[in-house]
Amino acid sequence: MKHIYTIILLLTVGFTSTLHAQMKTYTGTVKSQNNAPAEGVTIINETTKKTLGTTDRAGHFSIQAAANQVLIFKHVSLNQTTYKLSASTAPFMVVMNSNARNLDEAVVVGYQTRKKETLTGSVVTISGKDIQDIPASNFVDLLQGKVAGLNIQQNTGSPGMRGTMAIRGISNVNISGSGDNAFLTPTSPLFVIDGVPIDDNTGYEYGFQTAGPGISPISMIPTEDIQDIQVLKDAQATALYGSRGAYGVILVTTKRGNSKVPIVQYTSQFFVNTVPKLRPVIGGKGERLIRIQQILQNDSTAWAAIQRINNSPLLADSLNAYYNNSTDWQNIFYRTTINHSQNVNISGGDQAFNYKVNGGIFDEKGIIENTGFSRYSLQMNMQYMPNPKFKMLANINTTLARNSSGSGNALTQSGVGTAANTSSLLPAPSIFSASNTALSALQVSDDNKTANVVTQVELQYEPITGLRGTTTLSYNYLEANKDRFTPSMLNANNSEIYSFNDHRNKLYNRNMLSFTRSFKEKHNLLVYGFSEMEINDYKADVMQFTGTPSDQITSGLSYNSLYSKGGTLNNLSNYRSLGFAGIANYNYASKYVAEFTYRVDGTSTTGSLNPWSYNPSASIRWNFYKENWFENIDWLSFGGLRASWGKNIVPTGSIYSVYGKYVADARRYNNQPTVSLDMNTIPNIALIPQSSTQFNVALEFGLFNNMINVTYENYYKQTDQILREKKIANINAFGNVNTNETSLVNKGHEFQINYRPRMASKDWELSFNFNGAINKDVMAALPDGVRQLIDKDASVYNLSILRRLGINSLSNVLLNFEGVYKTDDEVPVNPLTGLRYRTGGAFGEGRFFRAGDPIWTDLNGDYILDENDYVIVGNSQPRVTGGFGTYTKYKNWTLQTNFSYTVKRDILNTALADRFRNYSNPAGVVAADKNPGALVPISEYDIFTSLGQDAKYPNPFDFTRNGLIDPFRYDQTLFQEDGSYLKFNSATIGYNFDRNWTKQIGITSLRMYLSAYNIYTFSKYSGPDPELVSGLGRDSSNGYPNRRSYTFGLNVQF
Amino acid sequence: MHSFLSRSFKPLLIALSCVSLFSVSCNMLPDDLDALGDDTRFNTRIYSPTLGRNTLFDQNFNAGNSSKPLALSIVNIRRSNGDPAPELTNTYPVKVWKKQYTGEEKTLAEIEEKRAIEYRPAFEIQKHSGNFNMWNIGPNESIKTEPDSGYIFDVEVSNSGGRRYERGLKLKPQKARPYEPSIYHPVSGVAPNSFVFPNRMILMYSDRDMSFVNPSSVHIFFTKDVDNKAPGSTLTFSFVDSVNNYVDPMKFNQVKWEELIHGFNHRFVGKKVVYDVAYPMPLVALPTKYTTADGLKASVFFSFDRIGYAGLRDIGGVGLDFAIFEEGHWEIQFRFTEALPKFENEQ
Repeated sequence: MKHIYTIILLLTVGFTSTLHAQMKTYTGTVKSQNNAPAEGVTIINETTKKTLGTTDRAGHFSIQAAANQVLIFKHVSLNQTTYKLSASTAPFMVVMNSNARNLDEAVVVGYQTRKKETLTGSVVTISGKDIQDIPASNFVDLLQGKVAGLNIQQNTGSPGMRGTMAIRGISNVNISGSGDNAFLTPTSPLFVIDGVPIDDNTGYEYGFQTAGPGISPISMIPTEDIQDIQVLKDAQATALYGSRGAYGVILVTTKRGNSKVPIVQYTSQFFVNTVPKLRPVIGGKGERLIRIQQILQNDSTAWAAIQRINNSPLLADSLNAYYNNSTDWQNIFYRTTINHSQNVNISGGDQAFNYKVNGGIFDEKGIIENTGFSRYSLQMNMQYMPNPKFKMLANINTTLARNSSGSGNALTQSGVGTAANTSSLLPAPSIFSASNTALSALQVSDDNKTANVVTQVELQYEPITGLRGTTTLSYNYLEANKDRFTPSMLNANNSEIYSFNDHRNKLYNRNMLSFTRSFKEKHNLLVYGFSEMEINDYKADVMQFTGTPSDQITSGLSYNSLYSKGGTLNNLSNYRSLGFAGIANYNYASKYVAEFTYRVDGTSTTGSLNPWSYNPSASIRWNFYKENWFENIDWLSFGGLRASWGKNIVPTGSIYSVYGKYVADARRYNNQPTVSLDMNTIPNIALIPQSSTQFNVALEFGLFNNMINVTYENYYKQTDQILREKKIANINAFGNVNTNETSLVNKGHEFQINYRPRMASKDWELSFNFNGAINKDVMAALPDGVRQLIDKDASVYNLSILRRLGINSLSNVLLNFEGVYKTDDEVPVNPLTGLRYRTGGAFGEGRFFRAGDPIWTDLNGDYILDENDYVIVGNSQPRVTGGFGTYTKYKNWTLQTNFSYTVKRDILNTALADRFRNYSNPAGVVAADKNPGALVPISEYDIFTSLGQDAKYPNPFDFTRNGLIDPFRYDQTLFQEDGSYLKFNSATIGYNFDRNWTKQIGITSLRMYLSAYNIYTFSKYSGPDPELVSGLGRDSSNGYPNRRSYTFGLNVQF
Repeated sequence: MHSFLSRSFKPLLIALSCVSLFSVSCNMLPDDLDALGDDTRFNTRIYSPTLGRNTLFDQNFNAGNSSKPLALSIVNIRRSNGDPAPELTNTYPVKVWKKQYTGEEKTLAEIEEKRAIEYRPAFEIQKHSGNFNMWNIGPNESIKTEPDSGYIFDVEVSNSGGRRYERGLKLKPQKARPYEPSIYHPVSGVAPNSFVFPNRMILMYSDRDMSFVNPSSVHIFFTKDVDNKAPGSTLTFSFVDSVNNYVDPMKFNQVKWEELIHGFNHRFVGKKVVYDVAYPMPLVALPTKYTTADGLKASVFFSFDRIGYAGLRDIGGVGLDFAIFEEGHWEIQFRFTEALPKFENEQ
């Protein structure tokens, strides 16, 4: 932005050049010591002290000056340099030293801007520029693999939604839902956008739990408007965001104006989203023959086989046009789309007054029909500082988003999943065919709108130097509504109008008093305290009308009022919190730093017994390279050790868990309607917020003039008082109680390495960064002092989850698959009864294992396979995550690549199980509202087909015994696979046009680029995508696949 | 150079080791131990097996909220008066199954090949499931049977999470009853009767009058020829009339003798039919063509056809479901104490 100075100067100087004929145009480049272009370097005329210009993104500048003039080059994080102009106007280069540049960066922590050198907490900064080449509805997706310890899994490709994210492991072990719809309670970090906290977990939760649009508030921020992102990981860094900081904090700073002449930046992106590889399917005659063949070969008798075939119109009635099809179902739903994103950023001003207006349109159509996301945003801010003692900042950000999730919800597309898994023999969707799931995915009119207005005013006043008062007030209004019309033919001849409407109001206020003082030159003291207040309320209303007079009438009243519903959903909430915080930071010559914070928080979801939480933290830092004995060591550019300990909380539960709830009672008393206490959950006034206590130790150093920068961190994060509902004895009037008895520990290592070799040629620039985190989670306490707790899954998947003290917090409970019986004689025999090993349940000949059946370990040795034979195995959470990237520059060309990886994660491939399970019903006779499943080629798998064969997969064709043995049950280790992957996230090739040339067409800078996103995933996993799994590591067939996109982008600056 | 490196890298190394030391010192976590729930229970606390047969007690133990597998063992098994009970802990030769019995075996040798003799204690627990095995150790007088109070024992339940004892479980064996249906009372061992009745009879007209043979007049005797010391086991079927004259079994002309029971080498010896068999019969509680539908008993049906009244073909017969647990030379005799069925055609 600062290169606008150039323009001003060009204009002003150009005007004055008539007076000073000796003025010449000088061009050149400013680079830092490590050969990186230095942007924003101010060039000053030494004699007149006038600013002549600033360097642009590439470090280029162009100024007008007289020969023999001395120029001063100034930058916040580079040492000041002077340069004497010669008579020649040939482009020249200035190199500015950047001693310990890494530590001089300014970082905003705890609402205060500080030098990184004095930071005692763990903070990683990502520049907005690093992520802006990929169009994304949600910037969080682009952080994947960029921050050690920030684990992002893009497990949904649904436009406008984001995947799961967690800083330093999971912080909650509670699960909602069952089967492959089981979800881990999200524990996303707290987002603080320009100083205003936004809790994404509450916005995210209604994406699938209730029927709202499910747009995350984070999707409302246009990526182009982001200046930088800071990820705060340890207790010290997050201490001052205490009342919600326990899951970590991500600070987002949007762009501001700081150029005297207004800058207009225009970013345009066109991108093509393509469908990833779909699975091959057997179609038409091929499918019919396979089904018939399977019946003939495997049915109990030849007569039964022929009868079975004749009883199935799907197989026998091949002359019927209804059944004589070869429908490619996947092709009906998946599509390639062309999308675009446009953004204009206008900014200007100086320290005294500056402003920014950012307007953007983002329009993405999903790769599944009838889904999409559009965002229209207008972000504005201004700063007014008439004198150094007073400052006023104001923001108004407005965003409107529209999305359609078809017949699915925000996270999954079960309608598409089911329909795409339909036999090819059935006809393509039309109103005369029975494929309602398919048709509803395509024809349900689903219109969601989410509107967000954020306003903020901040006033700062510094009456005495060093003493500053700040007050911030922000109001955030988020409204979402959903209108869905389901035509009558799709809903059992009853059309349905569904209308959802919610709004969330949030008022936030912070008043801060800070004092900073340096005395005797070397002692620096920063003390500040603040109070923080939040009022947050949420309410959702739903109307559901069944049966409009006709499908043309898609709103208004229904005739079928008996089935029409409406009202306020029971997730309405009203939350308040109040916090007081104090901090003291002392440093001695930036060599020794100590910091203490103390925070007191009260929230309305805390029980009245202990309304306040007290959260201290303490930390120290030692910049050992400043010690005298390092003076002569020149290979060490900088080095510091830091350690921190602290406690944070996050409010959990609702006010109803604390005080109970009155509900309209269905029973009547004295023939009068009654209101009575909800007897489901007993109030518990002893509830306290979930807390996280964290130790963090880190070592940072730079070697060989910052060619190599290394950060290594070691942490121990203990999450206590996790809220969990437990059943209580039925002698009580109430059924359940919420308690804070669960604890979890995450410990691990994080490292981040940057390597920037010094190239011999100035045309070349190269840098490489690598980061990784090894996390281990351990269950530390469970309710009632038990050692283990099993969440039984009652669904067909039977995927229970076990938590046991001392091991990872979420273990799978599965049958141990050891192979396939080659012959009947391999089946073990009970020496006492002489009976073969069999499956449990009613005794039957078919239940005895035979050749071709899976070998499941008989854990308790009773020769019966039952619930006692499950083993604890696997960990659904990734153990190692991270990423790496490269940046290469040759002259005007740049190439940027980004990779991310996940190592050691156990995935349950339920999609593969489904493939085999579809062979269990060759006749294709199913319940009235279902369709027979598609047959996919399984010849590529090593399946058991003949006696004595040592196969990997059991015999899928023995369908008569399928219900008794269930060889492809989901709950077995056969389908638990290693989900490690390395993903080539993105690659961008950019070209910066020569400034001298672009200036002729009135453009300050012009850059074009091509980028590809989600390029390739390297993995041994047998499913389509090891990342497209739920937070519990389950690969269901209903997920929304991740797009692969190719972008053409343009950055223009006027 | 070397000294330079060691001198200057030393502070860095010290710093690094300080940081990594931190992770070692921070181990306040619970150990990785199995859970042993305090809700482990034996649903059945009194076990009353019948001696002389293999008995499995299953579905008797609930592991509760425990990590599996658990290790269970019988400890301190004693008589009701506190005396030790070596008769239960001693090992005896018993026949154990090594391969699956299918009912399709063609020879006795083929069956015997699937079994082997092993030494096992009379009463043992399956180590991980808590099921109890009471083995057929043959005739044994030393094991106390009801009405004696029997034995008391404890079970140790353990895994790496600890151990618990289930105390005071009872074993009250009942006297051996070598065949079923039995004439002996399970507790007293007294036989109130000397015979049992057939399970089914159809269309057996009396050869004396126009009535049916009275079902209660057909008495079935199980006898073991203890004097026959010939090796192997046999089963003999015979039929006698009210005055103890043998009836020719060939009069039951509809019987497929080779498929009557899972026996071999059937032969007619003096109006008796004799099979070489393997005991117990049935060998395994598995439904086969020789057994009842639940597989628990062998099922025989002796049938014949004749031209009845009005020229209709009648198929009559008498059937019995039985089990024999003791090896030896057994005979099952059907006595028609009042009247024989009429085998001849109506004139």
